[in-house]
Amino acid sequence: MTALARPSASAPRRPRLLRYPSLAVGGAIATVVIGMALLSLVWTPYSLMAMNMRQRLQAPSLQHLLGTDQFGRDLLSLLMIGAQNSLAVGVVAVVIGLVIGTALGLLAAARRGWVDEVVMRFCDFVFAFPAVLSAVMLAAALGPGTGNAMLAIGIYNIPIFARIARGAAKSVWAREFVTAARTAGKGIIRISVEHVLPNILNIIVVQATISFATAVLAEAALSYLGLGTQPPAPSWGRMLHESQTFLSRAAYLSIIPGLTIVVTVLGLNLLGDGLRDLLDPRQSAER
Amino acid sequence: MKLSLLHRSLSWIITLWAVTVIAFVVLEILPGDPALVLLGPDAQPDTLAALRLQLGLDRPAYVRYGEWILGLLRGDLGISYTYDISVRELIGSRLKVTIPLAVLSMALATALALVLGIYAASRHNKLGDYGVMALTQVGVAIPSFWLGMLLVLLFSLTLRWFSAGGFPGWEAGLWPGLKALVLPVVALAVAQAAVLARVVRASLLDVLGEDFVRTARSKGLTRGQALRRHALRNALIPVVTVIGLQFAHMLAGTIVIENVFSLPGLGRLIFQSINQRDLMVIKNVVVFLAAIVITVNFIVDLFYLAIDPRLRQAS
Amino acid sequence: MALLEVQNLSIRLERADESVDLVRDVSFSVGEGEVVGVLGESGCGKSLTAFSVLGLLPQGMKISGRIAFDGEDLLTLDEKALCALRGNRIGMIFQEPMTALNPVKTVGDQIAEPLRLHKRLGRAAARSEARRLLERIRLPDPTAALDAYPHQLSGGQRQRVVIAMALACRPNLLIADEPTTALDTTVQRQILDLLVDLVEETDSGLLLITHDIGIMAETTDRVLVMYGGAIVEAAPTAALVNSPAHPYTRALLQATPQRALGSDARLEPIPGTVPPPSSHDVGCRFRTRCTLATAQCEKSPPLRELGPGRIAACWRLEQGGGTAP
Repeated sequence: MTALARPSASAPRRPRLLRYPSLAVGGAIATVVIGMALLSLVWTPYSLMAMNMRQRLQAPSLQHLLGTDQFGRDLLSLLMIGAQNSLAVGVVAVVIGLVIGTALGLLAAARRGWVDEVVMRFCDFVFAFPAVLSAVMLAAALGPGTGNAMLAIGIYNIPIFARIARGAAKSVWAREFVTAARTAGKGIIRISVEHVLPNILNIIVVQATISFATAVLAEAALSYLGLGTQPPAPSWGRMLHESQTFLSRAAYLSIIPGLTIVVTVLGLNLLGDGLRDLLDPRQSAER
Repeated sequence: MKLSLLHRSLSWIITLWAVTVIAFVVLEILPGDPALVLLGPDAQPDTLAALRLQLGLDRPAYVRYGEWILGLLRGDLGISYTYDISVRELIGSRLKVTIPLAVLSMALATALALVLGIYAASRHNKLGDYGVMALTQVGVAIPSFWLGMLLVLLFSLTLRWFSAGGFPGWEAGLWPGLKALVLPVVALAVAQAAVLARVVRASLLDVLGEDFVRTARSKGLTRGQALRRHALRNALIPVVTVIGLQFAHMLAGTIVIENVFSLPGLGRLIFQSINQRDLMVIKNVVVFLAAIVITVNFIVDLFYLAIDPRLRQAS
Repeated sequence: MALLEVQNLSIRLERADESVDLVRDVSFSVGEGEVVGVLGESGCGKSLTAFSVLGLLPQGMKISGRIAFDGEDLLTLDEKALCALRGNRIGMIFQEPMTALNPVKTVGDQIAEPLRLHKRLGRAAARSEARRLLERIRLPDPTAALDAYPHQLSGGQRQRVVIAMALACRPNLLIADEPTTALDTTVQRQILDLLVDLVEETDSGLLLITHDIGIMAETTDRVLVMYGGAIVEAAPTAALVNSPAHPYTRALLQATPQRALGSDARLEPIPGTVPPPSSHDVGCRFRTRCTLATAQCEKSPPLRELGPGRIAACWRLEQGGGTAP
């Protein structure tokens, strides 16, 4: 763990943050990964088109900091561009799950009764489809691709957000200011949006961070299977799949992208834990 | 109890039915023309027409759905287009790999999680606790397929203790079969164990704060005895739920891991079927896997009734 | 020598930013067959004092002083020796019967547990002894109750089970922490009678913690009154009820509807609340709510002897109209 807490220029120095080490470390890692992805939009150490068969499978060196792949492409450049892909899938998948899931959860908490029952049964049902299974179906029906990976992971996220939003919203509905708003004659949709949502936003943000980490992991698995991002676009999961052939000849080709995934996911999870400590102390005390 | 049993059985059946609808809509209606999917865009029109007739695609969707469901109820899952044998046989032979893989992984993950979770809870807020928590943080961040590759690199390519993949079949004997499953099982179990260990710890800490644990201590039980004899059983109730939910991930995980180790299981079958566009196989395997997940959760519900005497009386 | 002798007991909660004294310099004793009451409002350190005897304080609390049980200082014993005492020679009854029992174990198993642990009884012997105990605590159908789960019993029945558990090994000392507070008033009486009968039967000492003066007056031989983590008055029960010395005791008596004194009984709540524990306050803790408080009360009053077995800590005992020496 401590090895990952490397100093970073972007790590905030305010002493307040020192009380939340997860937040600081997780935030730093997330910033680096996002920074890498953004930077790759305008600059990478080498062009991806720069195949150089004479320089294929080169171990890390000063010239190529992380080595080269089987086509002689620079691994660091591939990883940087691959980060774009991981983050894009993560963002879209979380947004799908967050928007639909939170709306369902708010609805269930507001209406109770049979609406609640139907929403919860729907969640149970969607839970029966792990992201990989949905992705398999979508890939079979529509052909593999980044969009289907986003959709599959997003669907998987819906019940997670729905359950969390429902639980939190229910306790907000029991509070006085909601009763006051009801007696003032406001409708349930207006109360949900104006009063309930702002009060459960903390919990939703924490879950979004953690779901983002899961999404990065799931995207890697789908790309590894060939159900996610298609070549020639580089993605971390695909790189691992392709490196498997060279496992005995060029182990670094498998180790480095894998470590990149681990550090990214770890960082996002730490960020989520830190945010929970910061925003929702009651919940974190229970953990 | 009878009422809640009925309620749960009913929702189990409804969920199973919903799964078949989704699978049918996604795999037979969404793609437009399944025959075109099977043969690819370059297919000749007359071959397409022939295949449509062979698969019965000329009939309306609801008829095809009805026939499929009736077949499912009879245990007839149709014929695989690519393998030309019954899908039921195909699934049966692949299950011999997938079921042991999933069950062994779950067992290993549970055992690891119990050891780590109980240890962490008993060392709460001490170094051992922090160590286990840090370990689980890393554990959940490791992709199972990458861990599989690392295990291959170390144990088969370097140490040469295990083969890098493949499966000799149970005909070769119990030990060669199990040996081929060791690395996949470990790769699949680690992340699950990490998740589960956190649940075990949190649940135990919750229960350890309960009054009856203090009562047990006042009777003269040591901290460890109180934990094992009084806290553990109460703490396991939420853990069992999570195990049930995780079984879904475990099965999904087999799809990935079987491909890392080239194991001829259900996951490999579904993956190959995508490449061969064998919708018949995909449809049935998806329904089969989802049905297992739903049924496992149903059994967990029943197990709940058995483990918690309070629920036995409720309603 | 008394059965239990507590001398200068202090309990301190050590936190990162500050330490707080929760119990300060408490001394008392319980003899064999004696019933000693500890009286005070919630948050006075009564329960902590009780838990400290068993060595079951929550984590982060530092304890000092001397707790001698049968001549042995419990604070010097290791965990193993303490476990051998708990539930064996010292029994404990808790306030909340609804949560004090393990929901997933049968009543019989839970009563048999200390017997198997301390008396090394076999499964069958422990079970028949548990049955006998259930009979003794007058549970309607003891054989059926053995296999019942706690949720199948009423609150009063559960508290009887807790008492049976505490008494299973015939302890020399029983500590009861508000044993009837969570129960209906009609059940309270039965449980209390049962408890006192059993204690008399076995000749054990009983340390009874309560905030109910009615219970205190009827059951105890001697009473300690605690306020703000310290003893403010100790006296034989009759003397305390008839002529309370400390203003806090008097206020408590006046706040009690069923007080067994004259006919002019009038319910008079004590104004204010118990101040939170703090290490900075050096004065009399009760002065913020005391009608007699003067500038002198900014300093902590010492415990003074008022007569045989009577002590109190107040600067204004003489002016208070109590039994001043």
